[in-house]
Amino acid sequence: MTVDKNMAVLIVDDYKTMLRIIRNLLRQIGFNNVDEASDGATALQKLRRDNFGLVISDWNMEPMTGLQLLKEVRSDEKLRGTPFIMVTAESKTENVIAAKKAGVNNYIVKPFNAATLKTKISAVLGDF
Amino acid sequence: MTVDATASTSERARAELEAIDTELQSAFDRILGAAERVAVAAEVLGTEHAASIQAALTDIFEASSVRDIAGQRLTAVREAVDHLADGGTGTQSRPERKRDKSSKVEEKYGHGSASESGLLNGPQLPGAARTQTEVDALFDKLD
Repeated sequence: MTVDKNMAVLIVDDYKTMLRIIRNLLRQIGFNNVDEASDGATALQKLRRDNFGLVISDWNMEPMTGLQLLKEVRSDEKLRGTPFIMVTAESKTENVIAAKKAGVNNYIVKPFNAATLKTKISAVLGDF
Repeated sequence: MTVDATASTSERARAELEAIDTELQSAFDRILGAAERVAVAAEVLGTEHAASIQAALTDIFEASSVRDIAGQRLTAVREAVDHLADGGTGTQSRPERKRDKSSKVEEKYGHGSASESGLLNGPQLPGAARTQTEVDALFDKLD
C-alpha cells in the first residue's frame, strides 16, 4: 500500500510546543499538509468540515479529551474510518485498554522519538 | 508555621512555578524558532551536509518535547501546593490547568467524563512509566 503524503493530517494537542514539534517531525518524513487543533472539540469541528487522512491526538486536554474525541470520531458515520493515533504521557495499562477499546489505531507514549512516530504512522497507513 | 506564613509560602511557590513555566515557554519558543530557521536554510542551500543537519534538528525537536512533560509536572506540583495550602482538606477549587494554549475554547464538554475517572494522571515518575515497548506489547495483546 502506498501512502499519499499529501493527505491532510490533523494534530491535536493543548501544548502549542507539541503541535510545533509534531508538525516539524511530520515535515521531515514528508507530510506537509498538516493542520492543528488545541483541543478535542476544535478538532472535531475541523474533522467534520474538512477531509483528514490521519489524526494524531494527545489525550489529556480540555474541554474535550483525546479519548472523548476518539469516541466521537468512531461514532460518526462519516468519520469512523479515520485512522487515529494517540500520543500521550498516560501510559497506564487501563489507559491503553480504554483507548484500544474505543478504537484507537496505535498508541505512542510521550516523550517519543521521530523513529517511533514514523513507525506508528507506517503501521497504521502502510509503508512510505 | 502560622496560617499567614503558610499562605505566604504557598503564594511564593505558586509565583515561582508560574515563572518557571513562563521562562520555559519563552526558551522553547526560541529554540524551536531557531531550529525551524535552520531547517529552511538547509532546504534552500541543499548542502551536502543536509542529512546531518536534519538529524541534528530531529534531536532538537525530540528533546523539546520535555516542555510538555515538564508543564504537566508543574501542573501536578501546583495542585499539590494548593492542596497543602488548604491544609490537605481538598476544599479549595481546582486551579485552572496551565497550558501554553494560544487560544481558549468554549467550555462545552468539561474535562474528561465519569468513564475517564482515574485515566487522567499525567506523566508517571521516571522508572514507573511504561515504556513504548511495554505499551506496544500490551496493545498487540489486546487484538
